[in-house]
Amino acid sequence: MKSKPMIVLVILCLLLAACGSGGAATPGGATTAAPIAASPTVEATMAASAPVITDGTVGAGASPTGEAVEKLRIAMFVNGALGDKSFWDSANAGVRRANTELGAEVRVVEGGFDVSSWEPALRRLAQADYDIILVGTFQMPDIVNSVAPDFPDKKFILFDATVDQSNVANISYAQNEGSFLAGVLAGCVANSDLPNVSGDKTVGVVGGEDVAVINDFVVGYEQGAQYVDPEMQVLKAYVGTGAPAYNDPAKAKELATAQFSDGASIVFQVAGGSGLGVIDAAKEQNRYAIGVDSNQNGEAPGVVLSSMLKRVDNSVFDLIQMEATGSLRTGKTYLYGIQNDGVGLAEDKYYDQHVPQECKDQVDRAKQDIASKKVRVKSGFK
Amino acid sequence: MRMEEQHGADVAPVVVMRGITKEFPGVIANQDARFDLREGEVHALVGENGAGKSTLMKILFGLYTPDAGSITVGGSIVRIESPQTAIDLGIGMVHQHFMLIPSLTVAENISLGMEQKRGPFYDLDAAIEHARQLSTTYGLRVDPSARIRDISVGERQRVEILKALGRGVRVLILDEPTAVLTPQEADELFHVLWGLVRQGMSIVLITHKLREVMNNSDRVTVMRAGQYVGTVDTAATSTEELARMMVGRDILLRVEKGAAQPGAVVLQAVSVTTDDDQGLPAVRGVSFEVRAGEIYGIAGVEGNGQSELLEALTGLRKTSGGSILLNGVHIERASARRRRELGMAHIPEDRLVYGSSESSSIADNAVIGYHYHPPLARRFWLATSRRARWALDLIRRFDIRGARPEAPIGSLSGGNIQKLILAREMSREPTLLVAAQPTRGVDIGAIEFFHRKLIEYRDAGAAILLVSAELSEVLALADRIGVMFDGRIVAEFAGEEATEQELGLAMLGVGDARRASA
Amino acid sequence: MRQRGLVAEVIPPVLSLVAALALSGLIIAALGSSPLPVYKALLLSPFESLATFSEVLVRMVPLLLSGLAVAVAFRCGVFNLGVEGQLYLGAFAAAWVGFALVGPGIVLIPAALLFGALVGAVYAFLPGVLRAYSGASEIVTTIMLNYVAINLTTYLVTGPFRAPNAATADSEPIAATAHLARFLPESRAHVGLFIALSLAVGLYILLYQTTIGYELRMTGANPRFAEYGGISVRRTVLIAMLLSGVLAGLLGAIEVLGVQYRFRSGFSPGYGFDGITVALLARVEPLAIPFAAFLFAVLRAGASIAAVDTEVSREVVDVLQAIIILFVTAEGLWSFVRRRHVVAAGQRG
Repeated sequence: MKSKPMIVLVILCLLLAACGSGGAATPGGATTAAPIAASPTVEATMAASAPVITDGTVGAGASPTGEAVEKLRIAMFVNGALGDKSFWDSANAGVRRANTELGAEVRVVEGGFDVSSWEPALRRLAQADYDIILVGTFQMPDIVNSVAPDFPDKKFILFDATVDQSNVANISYAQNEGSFLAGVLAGCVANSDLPNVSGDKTVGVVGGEDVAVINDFVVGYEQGAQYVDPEMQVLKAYVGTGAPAYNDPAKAKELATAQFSDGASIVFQVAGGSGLGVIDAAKEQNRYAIGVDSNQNGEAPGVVLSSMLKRVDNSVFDLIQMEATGSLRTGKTYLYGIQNDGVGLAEDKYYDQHVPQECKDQVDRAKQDIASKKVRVKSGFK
Repeated sequence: MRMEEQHGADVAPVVVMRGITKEFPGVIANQDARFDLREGEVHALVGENGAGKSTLMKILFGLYTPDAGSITVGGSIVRIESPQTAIDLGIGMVHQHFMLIPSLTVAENISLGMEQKRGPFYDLDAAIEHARQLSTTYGLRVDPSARIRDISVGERQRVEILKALGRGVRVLILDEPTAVLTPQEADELFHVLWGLVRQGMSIVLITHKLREVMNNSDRVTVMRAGQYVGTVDTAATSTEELARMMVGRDILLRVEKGAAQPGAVVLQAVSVTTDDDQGLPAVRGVSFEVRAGEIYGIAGVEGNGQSELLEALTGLRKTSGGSILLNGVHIERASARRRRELGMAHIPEDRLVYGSSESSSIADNAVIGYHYHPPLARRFWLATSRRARWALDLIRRFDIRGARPEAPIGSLSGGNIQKLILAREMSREPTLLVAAQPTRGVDIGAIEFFHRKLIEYRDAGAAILLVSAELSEVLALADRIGVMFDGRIVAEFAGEEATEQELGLAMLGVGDARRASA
Repeated sequence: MRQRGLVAEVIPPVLSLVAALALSGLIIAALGSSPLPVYKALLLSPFESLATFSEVLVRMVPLLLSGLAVAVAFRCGVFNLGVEGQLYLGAFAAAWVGFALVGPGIVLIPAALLFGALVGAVYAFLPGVLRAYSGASEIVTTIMLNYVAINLTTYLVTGPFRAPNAATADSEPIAATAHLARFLPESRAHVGLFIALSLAVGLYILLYQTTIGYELRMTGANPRFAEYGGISVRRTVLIAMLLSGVLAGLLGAIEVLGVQYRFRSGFSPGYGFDGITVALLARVEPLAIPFAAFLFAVLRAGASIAAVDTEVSREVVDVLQAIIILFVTAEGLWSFVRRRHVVAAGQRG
C-alpha cells in the first residue's frame, strides 16, 4: 500500500532523468536568445557628459562616430519583476534606449522573487553569449561576488551597489547631491513669497528609516537648505524600521502633519511608498512637498513642487555606450551625480509653473556649484 | 400476527413501497421493507433507533437508492434518483437537522433553488411576497424578512416545512420533528400538520415517541431491525402493543449458560452523572455494580443515556458527578489508558467510530490500547514482527476469515471487524469487559459465537457489563438487568425473573415498572 | 482490498503530466511562441550538466524538508500551514549562532542546526497548544503566526541584528566554519541534502517502527479510535506539531548554513506552502517525499532556466509550472481526499 506512491514517483523521476540525459546529448544545448527588434541604422549618440570615476580620473566620453558600432549583446538580470514604475522600469528604459540608439541586442530576464534562484539564473545568463550583463540593487553584491569571478572574460555592470571585482563596473548614485538640490529648493521656497509658506525659517524631511542610505538623502537635503539660508531649521522624522517603513503612508502623513504644524513650509519625502502620505499631508495642510525617486510632481500639481530623481536609465545607457566605444572600465565605480545627470530634480511643466523664478535660479546655481566642486556635499555613509 | 391493510381498501394509496432492501457496508439497513401511505393521513413510522425507518424514508426522498424493491407513486412505478426527482413527484422531507442557511432570511431560504428573477437580478420582494403567501395559505406563522440565525428552532422548522410546501409537495416526511421542540411547540406543530392534512396533504411522521403517535396519527407502521413488522390503525392499538411490536418478540436466541457465580464487586458506579455533547444532562445519577463472574445487562431504548454512561465509565467522557470504582480504585478521573491498565476492556457501540480505524491495517487495529506494552513494544520501539504474529493469532483464534495483518481493516465485513475488536479486547484478559451493542449488524452465526464467548468469559471469572438495544440479547445473556430511561436506571431485574413485557414497559417509561433492587 | 496493478497506478500521473504539457503547450502557442524550447528548458535542461543538476539538488533540500514537516502533521490529522513562519525563525536562530558565536564547524554547525530546530519547534508548539487545549483551528493560527514570524525576523535584521553598513535587511554573514560542506565541484549542492534524506528515512522509522509514530498515525486516521485506545490525542497532536516545527526549523537552518550564509529577510519563496503540495504528491508517505521534492525541484530549476533561455515571459513560465504541478498533484490529492472521505463516511456510518 504505502510503497506504491513511491514506486510511481521513482518511475516518474527516472522517466524525466532519461529524457533529460537524452536531451543533453543533442548538440546546441543552450538556446540563444532572439534579438529584440534591433535597429542597427540608428546612430550612436554621445553621452551628455562623462561620468566621474571614483579614483578621480574622468571617464573618456564616447567619441561620436557616424557609423554603426559593432553589435553589442546585452543582458540585464532583473532580480524581481518589471512594472514597478520606478527603479526597474527606469533601468529597462536605459537598455531599450541602447537597443534603439546603439543597435545593441538586448535581453531582459526577470528573475522573480525567489532569492535562491537568482544565483543560478545569473550564472546561466553569464554562460550564454552576451558581452555585458547588467545587474542591479543592493540585494545582488553577494551573488555578483560569487558569479563574476567564474566568468573573467565577461563584463558585468552592477548599478546602485558596488563590489570589488576586476570584471565588474559599478554604478553608484550621489543621492546626497540630488537631495542637496531638493534642500536648496525647499530652503528657497520657505523664504519665498509663495502663498502657502508658513513664514518660519523651517523645512522638513520624512525618511523611511534611520539608516545610512536614507541619511545620505537627509544629510544632503539639510546641507542644501542651510546653503540657501544658514538659519534654516530642518525637521527630521523617520517612519519606522524595515520594509513596513516604506509602506505606511498613514504614519508618514502623521509625521509630515506634525512638521507642518511646527512651521515647516515644505517637506521632502524619502520614504518610498509611505511618501504619498507626506504629499497628502501637504495637500491637507496647504503647504508644499518634494517627491523622490520617480517624478511625483503630477501627484499634486502646485503642491509637489519637484521630485528628486535617480536617473538609472541615463547611467545604464551611458555605460553601455562606453562599452560600445570601448571605453568602459571594469573594476571601477562610476559615480552618477548632478554633473552627469545621474541625479537631479524633476524640472517639468509643474516645476516651471509653480516654482518661483528666484528659486529656479538658486537651484541652477547650486548645480553649477556642485559641478565645479565649489560645494562638497556631505554623505550619510560616513 | 401481522396486521396490515385491514382498513381503507377504498382509499387509494399515494405511495407504495415494496420489498425495499438497502445495505450499507457491514450493515443491512432495510430488508424487504414495505410502506403504504394514503392520501390525507398522518402515518406514523415507528421503531427503535437503527430500525431503518429513516433509511426507508430517505430512499423515498431519493437520498439513497435501494438495492432492491419498488416504489409506486400515484399509481405508477418510479425511480427516485435524487431529492429533485422526489420533489418533482410531490414528495418533500424535513430532516432532523435543518438544511437552512443561517445568514439568509426566511424568504431567501424558502425560495432557494427556485429564485424568481427580475432581469438578471434576484427578486427579493417577490421572494418575500411568496413566503408571506405560503405562510397565510398554510397557517404557518413566520417573518419572511427575519434571518434564520435570529429565529427559534420551532420557527426554523416551520421554514423547513414552508420550503417543502413552496415546492408544491403533497407528501411531507418529517424525521423526528418533535425531538428539538418544546412540548408547546410540538402541540403547535401537530395543529399545523392536521391543518395540512385537511387540505389533502399526506404526512409521514418518523418518531419513536409512542404517546405522540397515539395522539397524532391515523395509522402506524412499525419497523424493527430493518424489517417491516406491521401496520395498524392508531385507534385500534395501544402504547403497549406498539411497544411490543417495536421491541420485538422474536424467538429468543437460547444461550446455554449455567447459573452465575458472582464474586467480588469489580465495577461500582455511584450516582454517576454526565452531560451529552450539547451540555445537557444525559445521565442523571446512575448507581449499580457489576461483580466478577456475572453479566450485568443494561436495557433501554437508545438515546436514554446509555451511550453517555458507557463513555463516562470507559473514560471517553467526563463525569459531572458521582464516582466510579474499578476493583476498589476510584477511576472517575482516570484516563482511558489508566482504566485499561487497571483491567478494563471495552467493545464500543460503534465499531467504525471508536472501535476501529478503517484505513489502518488490521495489525494496527489489533494492538491499540496495548501497543505500548511488551510484548508488542519495547520502550519506544514497536516489535513489528511480534505485532504481526499477535494479529495473526487473534485472526486464527477468532476465525476471522480473509484477514491478513497488513490489509486495511476496512476490507473486512462488519461482523469480522467486530470479531477483531472482541478478540483484541479479550486478548489481555481484563477483569471487566464493557460490551456495548456487541452484536449489532452481525449475522446470526456470529451472534451465537459472540454470545458463547461472553458466557465463557463470564464463567472464567470476568465481570461483564453488557449494553444492548436488542432486548432478546440482554435477556439471553444478563444475570441481572438494569433498565435505563431518561438518564436513570428506573428498574433492576434478576435475569431469570424478567419478562419481556415488563422490560419493554420499563424501557419506554410507561406503566409502573416494578423496582426490584435499587 | 482490490489491488490495483502497478501499471494502473502509474498511468494516471503520467496522463496528468501529458495533459498538463498539452495544455501549457497550447498556452505558449497561443502567445505566439514554440512550446518545444520551453518544454526542453523546463523539463530537460536541469539534467543537461552536472552544474544544472546540482541546482536541482540544492532546490530539493528545502522542498523535501518542508514536505516532511507538513507530512508529519498531516499524518496526525493536523494541518501545519505555519511551516513558512517556523522556517524563518529557525533560519534566523541558526544564522544567529553562525554570526554571533565563533568556533570550529564541528561545534558551530550542530549548534546552529539544533538551535534552529528548537526555535522552529517552540514556534509550532504554540498553535499546537491552542489546538489541543482550546480547540482553536491550527489552520487559522498557523497562518496568522506566519506573518508574525516573517515580520519579526525582518525587524530583527533591519533593527538589532542588521549587518553594519548593509544596504539590505540582512544579518551579518555567518562564520565560514559554519558553512555546510559542498560535495560537488563548482556547485552549491551541499550536505544538507543528506541530512534531509536521512530525516525522511528517520520519519519513516518514527511513523512505522515506534509507539509514538503509531499513536500519531492512529490519531490522524481516527482520533476517536485513538482516544478510545488510551492514546492522548492532545499529547499526540502536540508531538506532531513539535516534530513538524523541528523539521521546519531545520529547513531554515540548513538553507542558511548551506546556501544563504546569512539571514536574508524574505529569503523563502513560500517553501512552507510548497511542502503541502510535495506532501500530497507523495501521498504523505515519508519515503516518497524525496522523489516528490525532486520532481518539484526539477520544475523549479527548469523554470529558472526557461526564464533565461527562452523568450517566454516569466509569468508564463510560472503559469506553466503551476499547471504541471496542479495536474500532477491533483491526482495525488484526489487519492488523499478519497481516503479521507472513506474514513469520514465510516465515522458517520
